[in-house]
Amino acid sequence: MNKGEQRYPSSIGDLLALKLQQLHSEKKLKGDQALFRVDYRKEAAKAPFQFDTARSRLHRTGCRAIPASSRTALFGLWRMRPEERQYACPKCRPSPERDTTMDQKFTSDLIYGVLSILDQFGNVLRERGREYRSSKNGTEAELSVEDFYQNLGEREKEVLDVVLSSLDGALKTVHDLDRNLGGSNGKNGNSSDGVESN
Amino acid sequence: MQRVDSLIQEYREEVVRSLEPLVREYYPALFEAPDNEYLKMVELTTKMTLVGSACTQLAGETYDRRRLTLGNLYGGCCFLADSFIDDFGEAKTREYLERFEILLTEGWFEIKNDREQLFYVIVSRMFGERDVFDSTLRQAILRLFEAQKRDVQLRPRESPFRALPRRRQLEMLRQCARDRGGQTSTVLSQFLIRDLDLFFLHPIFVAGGLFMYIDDHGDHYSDRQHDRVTYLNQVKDPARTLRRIFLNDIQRLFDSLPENAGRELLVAFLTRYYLTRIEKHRLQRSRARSWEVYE
Repeated sequence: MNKGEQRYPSSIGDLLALKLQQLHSEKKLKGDQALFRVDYRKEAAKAPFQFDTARSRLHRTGCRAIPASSRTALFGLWRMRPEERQYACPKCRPSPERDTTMDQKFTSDLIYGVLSILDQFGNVLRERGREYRSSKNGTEAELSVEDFYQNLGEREKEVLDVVLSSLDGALKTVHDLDRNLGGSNGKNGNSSDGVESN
Repeated sequence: MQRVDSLIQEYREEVVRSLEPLVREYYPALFEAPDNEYLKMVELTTKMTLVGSACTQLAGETYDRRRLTLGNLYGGCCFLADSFIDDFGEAKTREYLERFEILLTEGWFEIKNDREQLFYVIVSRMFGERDVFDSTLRQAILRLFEAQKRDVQLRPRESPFRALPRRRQLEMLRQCARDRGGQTSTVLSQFLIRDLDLFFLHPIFVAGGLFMYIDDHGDHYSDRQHDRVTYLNQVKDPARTLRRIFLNDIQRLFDSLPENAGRELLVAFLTRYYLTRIEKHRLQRSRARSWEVYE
């Protein structure tokens, strides 16, 4: 990436992804929250079952029969299907009734659903949102939105907050891009290929 | 085997169609990089795409355009991530591992050059195509990262690993190669297939491990030249050891997988890869230089 030269990606998704990282590295985002966390090691260690992919063996978490050489190949599982009894460790004998689910999955899906819409229609939604908020239905909906937010886990709130706060910057970039493309015919000092020199 | 040859040609064209525009836009210098780096990226990605196709068909699914694109992105991602870890010296390797850990734990990645920009765009496109909150996929990505990290920790001459008894060293190296390959194929299959049945996790892990042993044998001399220790460049008789692993793992795959097009493709591909890497190893030994054919 050459300094002093700003290029605009042709894909809006790439643009948003890169812009988010840029805003963060320039410390222009509010707070210091995580964008998203792929790391699930702590949660996986607490899952009721562990599947050993190296030996095709399903254990209860904490089973002492798990070989040391398999510790790097374990996957935490939150449910066991009846047909998976064939993989059950004969020592700890895991069974499907110990099945639990992750309570955060639902909210994570919701957030991603909301974000995917924001990602595509952020501009339109913002305008529409202003009008809707002042309407009767909007006032009623405000309560359920707040309710939804209150029920999110800390991590989901962090993700939502950071992305929403970053959206402003990203949308500004989109506006800049539109403006630059609009003025690329020799206007505003832009080169003809749409590359802006600072 | 003929099917593998024709698929490789077909997928190579698809890989170029997917990756070339990204490279052109985000890191055009890669086309001119030394040692035909771009071609190496295409070849690795083609192999990854083929393995992805086999895994998808194993599970009775169709390797459609979306999956093909995901496979191509994943191959490009692996190539660039490996290069960050392998090609820029020890200090850079450590720095990249720290930055990857931040990317995985917080989602932030400070982009410092065009190569990193291309890597991040590929990663974000992959994550955009797939729900990364899926717990097995998340765990697989972290397991792969941990395996890479362990591999790096075994490298320095002053590493405590080098003071261990030889038998223990070999055990650790063997496990490390198994995990690097096994987790690579597990991540790939998790990206391509949602809710993959537990039944397939073990054979896919075995296939990935075998791929890595074969790959390490092919890179025997260049790895030693760069002071990288692997299980296959430390054992006394690498060709014999690899042959034993190959026969054992292929038999396991054949016995454990359902008889379908996916199994045929996976076994044929691994057999072909084994034969070409044996040849690569032999040529490198006789010419004492890196093999210039990447396919």
